[in-house]
Amino acid sequence: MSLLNINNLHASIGDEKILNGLSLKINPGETHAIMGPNGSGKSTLSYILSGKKDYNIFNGSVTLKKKNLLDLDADERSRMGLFLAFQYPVELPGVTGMTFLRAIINSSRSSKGLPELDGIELVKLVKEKAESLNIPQEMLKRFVNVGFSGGEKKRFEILQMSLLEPSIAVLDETDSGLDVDALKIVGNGVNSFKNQDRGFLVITHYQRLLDYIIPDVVHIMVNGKIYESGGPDLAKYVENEGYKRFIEND
Amino acid sequence: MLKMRDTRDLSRMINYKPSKDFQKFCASFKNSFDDLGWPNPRLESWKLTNVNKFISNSSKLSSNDRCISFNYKNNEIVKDLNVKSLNLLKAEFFKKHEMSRVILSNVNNGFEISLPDNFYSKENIEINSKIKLGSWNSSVFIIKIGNNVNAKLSFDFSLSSNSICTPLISFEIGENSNISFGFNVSNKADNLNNSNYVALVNGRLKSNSILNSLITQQGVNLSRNEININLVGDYSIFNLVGLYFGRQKHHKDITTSVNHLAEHTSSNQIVRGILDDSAVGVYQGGIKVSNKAQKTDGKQMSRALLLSKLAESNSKPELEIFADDVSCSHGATIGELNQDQLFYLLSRGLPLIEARQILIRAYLNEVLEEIHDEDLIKQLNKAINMWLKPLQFKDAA
Repeated sequence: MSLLNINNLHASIGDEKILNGLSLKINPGETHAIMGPNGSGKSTLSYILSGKKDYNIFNGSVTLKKKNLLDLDADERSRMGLFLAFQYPVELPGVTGMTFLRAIINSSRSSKGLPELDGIELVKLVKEKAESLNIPQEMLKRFVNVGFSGGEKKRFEILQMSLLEPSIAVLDETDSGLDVDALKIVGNGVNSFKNQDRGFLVITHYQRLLDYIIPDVVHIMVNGKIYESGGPDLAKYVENEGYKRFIEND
Repeated sequence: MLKMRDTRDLSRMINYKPSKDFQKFCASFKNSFDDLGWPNPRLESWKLTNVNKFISNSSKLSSNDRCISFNYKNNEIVKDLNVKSLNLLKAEFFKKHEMSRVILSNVNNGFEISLPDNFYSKENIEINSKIKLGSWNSSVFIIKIGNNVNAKLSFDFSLSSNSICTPLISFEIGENSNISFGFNVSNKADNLNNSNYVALVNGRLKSNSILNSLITQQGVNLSRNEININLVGDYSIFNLVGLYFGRQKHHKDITTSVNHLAEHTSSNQIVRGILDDSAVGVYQGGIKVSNKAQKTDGKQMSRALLLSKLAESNSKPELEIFADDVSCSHGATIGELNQDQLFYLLSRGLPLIEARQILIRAYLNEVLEEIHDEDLIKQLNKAINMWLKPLQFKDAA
């Protein structure tokens, strides 16, 4: 049974068509990568999956664990097990990291019928996960993403992912703004989180992230649909030759 | 002799026993109230707040005189109004002010609080007014504070349906004193209607004194706090944090005039509003610097958060500067909840109600950082929580 099933998805923003019949299936335990040139609709796909309302979806379907995702609001999708690591994480002035994490962890727990964590349990849980991502406690006292470096922002996204334990995680250009060391930390963070029940959709411009997060399937996305799919070699081909072949033939 | 504090025994109803002089003085405003009534919206400072739209049948309300309780360990600081109290009311400000006729010709309660030189208290001096259904309370509070005083006063006004509350507060702060004033107005319960509050405050600060004040307005149909401050002594400081929360057709107004009349005086006004449904907020912030007040530092900043398309916020800074070596600034912003921030929170599984509350609290956090007194923080948190409570039910519905 597939975990995430996107079938013939068409979407637009205003008059502009962005997705043109995109189809994709991710089974439990699989990691898929989507690569594509600028403007091919990669980030739009991630926003549509997570429930941003700016888009008009006029054809196709998306199911997560056989439930129709498009009928649900963004918060319901998250509670169903979908996670989006943002390309540009949003700053929340006035909301400290710990306050934010407490709110999202306890909201997630209560939706699963679990009791809320008290202050001590929560700090212990967060501390453990934060350490493995090289996130100092100081960072959690600051306002969310305010004044964070590119690397800090992405590590904080992965921390949220590991705390919310989603069934499927969409990583939108998680490598952008990262140096090699930060890339390693993020890559290791994702790898340690992989298991046989969980799926990943890694959206990226460059092959380099895929040196750390090894995909099972690589898709090339051009003009709002999957143009070609293959193994990790396809990413290496793009790294050497670029997207020329796919764009010219489209 | 030291006694254990028992608030039940020590809080007492304040009875109004004015002297004949005082009654005579108040009666002299009767004719002008009969002729002119409530302030006319043609007056510049009332253009954005038309009281007549809210108050139409004030003559039908009963006079509510036993509604004020005083809560402090030492009752001796409270006195009845006397001939000397009059001096503060005879100030030019009150003679000219259009609310004086409304308040003084209808006055049915009042007293004087005197804090002598070197008076020091960590405990809040609480003055609580509970205005009953269908009544109008018009009270005069005279506050005389000596030199080297350290004290906190809080005024809490709690209104019922079909009620009016028109307090007049006149105060004087001596030299080297450190004072905090809290003014809170709210309804006794949710879903009350036609509650109206129009307050007039006038005060002066002598050298090296500081006044930290907090205004919170929540729940009342019409509420206006008008504050006139005279910084008459060198190095005196006035700080104001004002917060109004509006929903339905509520109208909130904070109007200030800070008059810098001596050198090295400073003032800082921070006003925040949150408006839902078709509520209206008004902030008229005045800073006046006389030609004698060199080295003045006067600041004001207002921000309003609109949670609905029909909500409205009006911000009118008024700066009049007659000295040349001063630093004055003002700023105003009006905005909605940031949709990207909201989406970020929703995408983490937080329901809309919770996500909105987190962002509203974040918006208010900046104000909390400005307040250091624990009683004022309590007042602020109480107002915030009261306002957020019905929001949960509304969003859940």
